[in-house]
Parts: sequence; C-alpha cells; structure tokens
Amino acid sequence: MAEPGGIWRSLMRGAVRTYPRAWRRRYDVEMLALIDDMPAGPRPFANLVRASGREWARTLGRSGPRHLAGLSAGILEDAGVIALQAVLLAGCLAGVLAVLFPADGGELSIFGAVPLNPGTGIQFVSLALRIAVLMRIVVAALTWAYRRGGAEPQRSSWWFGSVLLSFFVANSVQEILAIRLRVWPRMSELEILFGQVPTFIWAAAISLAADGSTGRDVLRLLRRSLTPLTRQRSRS
Amino acid sequence: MKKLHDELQDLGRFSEPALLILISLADGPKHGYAMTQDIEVVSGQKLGPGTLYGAITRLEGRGWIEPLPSEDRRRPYRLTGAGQRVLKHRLDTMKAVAKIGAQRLADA
Repeated sequence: MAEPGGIWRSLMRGAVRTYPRAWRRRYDVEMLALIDDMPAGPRPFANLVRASGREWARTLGRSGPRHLAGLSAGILEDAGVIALQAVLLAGCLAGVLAVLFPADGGELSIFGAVPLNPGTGIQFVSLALRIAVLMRIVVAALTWAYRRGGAEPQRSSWWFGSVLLSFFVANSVQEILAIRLRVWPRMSELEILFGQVPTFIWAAAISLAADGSTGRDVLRLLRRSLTPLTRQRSRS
Repeated sequence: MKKLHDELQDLGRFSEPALLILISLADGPKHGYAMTQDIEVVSGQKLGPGTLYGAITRLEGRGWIEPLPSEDRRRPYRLTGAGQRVLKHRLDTMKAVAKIGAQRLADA
C-alpha cells in the first residue's frame, strides 16, 4: 500500500474527474481505489491525463456521425499537442537563427536576408500551424481509415507530434533557403501552390512511416473503410 | 483462427497492455492493482493506471474479460471463454514465431 496523501495523488485523483461522465459512472470507483493503492508521481499522473484525452476522443467519436468518428477522435486527441509543439518550435527556431545569423547594421535577421521582426515572427508561427494542420489532415485520414475498418491506429499521437517537429524543421530550412535564394519573387501564386504538392506527399509518407503501416496495410484499410457499413455488419 | 489474431491486433496501441492483462488473468481473477503488480513481475513492464484501464475498457467492451461482484472498491476481473480463446491463439502464434526465430539463430 502506498503512502496516503501527497500532491501527486491529489492531482491523479483530479485527473480521473476529467474522464467522460459515462466512463466515470462505470470505472470511477475502482480507478480511484487503484490510485490509492499505487505509488503516486508525475508519470502515472501524465499517463492518466493522456488516457483521459483518449477516452474523451473515443466518447465524442462514438456520439458523432459514424463516418466522422475517426476524424473527430483523432483531431481532439492530437490538436492541442501539435499546435503547442509547433508554436514552441517556431519561437525557438526563429530565436536561434536570429542569434546565430545577425544581419549587418545590428538588425536581427535570418541568414542576413529576412529581417526578424514581429511580422516575420507571425509568419513563422503561421507556417508552423499550417504545417500542423496539413499533417493533421493526413493523420486524421489514416485514423479514419483504421477506425472505419474497426481498428485503432498503431502508434501514439505523441509519436505523430514528434514527427511533426522534424517535418517542421525540414520545411522551415527549405523555406528559408527559398527566401535566401530569392526563388519566391520569380514564381507565380499558382506555381507556389503547385510547389506544395511534393510537401504534401512528403508529409503523407512521413505520417505513414511514423504509424508503422505498410502500403498494403493502408490499401486494405482504405478498402475496408470504403465498404458500406451495412455490408460490414451483414458479413460479421 | 486468423480472425482471432487480427482482433487482438486491432486494439492498436492497447494490444500489448491487453495481452499482458489477459495473461495476468489467465491464472484467476484479479483487481487493477493486483494486475499491475503481476504484470510487472511477469514482464518487467509497469502499466500506468490510464493505460491499464484504457485496455480494460476495451477488453470488457469486446467481451474478453468480465467484472465480478466486489465487496469493496476494488473490482476483480476474470477471463471469459472468448478471452481464453483469443489468448491461447495469440500465445500459440508467439510460440511458433519464437521457435522459428530460435531455429534460425541456431542455424546461423
């Protein structure tokens, strides 16, 4: 039996209250008994917070339209983590670049080409969020395919968050180089738009690799997900 | 037989904790804390409370484990017949894979 009281135990008990009501109605008492029995600490607390998010995602995904279940569950589960990581990384990256590559005349800039001011800071954050949303769409599509096929995604959303970070770094470097080489002013808006296609493909490939899925897995799941639900039910 | 295997795999991120819970319940009913202790002894893994109950929720939803009446707050669970079949099939598969792996190592 673990020691009574303690801030972590109180936080863990509080985390159980963040679970969906329907879940708590069924498991609340025994979960609190488990928390009282086990050693308290930051790791089990974090474990509970994450699990609470998953149960909410599961509950909301079930209560919504069937074909949106996977999407809503995935988005709710990951959106906060991804947005936070993207914004944090944008700030860090901009700050590090500004320190490493100061412009002549004392003005902070990126590679001496892009002045670093609130305007470019906002662009960085905007870029981070746009990439986060694009990646999320890919991940949500995969999640939808899995759940529509009666399965769950293979890897944790935190894994996707980590993949996002590396993707963001790579894409930021790519865009900074484009600015430095002054590619953008020579391109039309349509060319810039089509220039994003390889980025989307790259994002999709990284997402699939992070999920541990093979191409065959994805095709099988997509085929199952496109099968009308009535046929799936009658088969089972 | 193949279908049973796929069902356990379909639990995604919960498939491993679910397997450990099924193994833990194979020798008799246990409540949550007893399961975490048993799993730690058997596999060296410490399941968090959220992971444990996430897996229990899904296992119960699929009818592979069932709760027993309890006199205090600690509710014990036991394997159902379906749960036993799923576990047996999974263990047989793992045994076959391990045998092939060991054979190949010996041949190398």
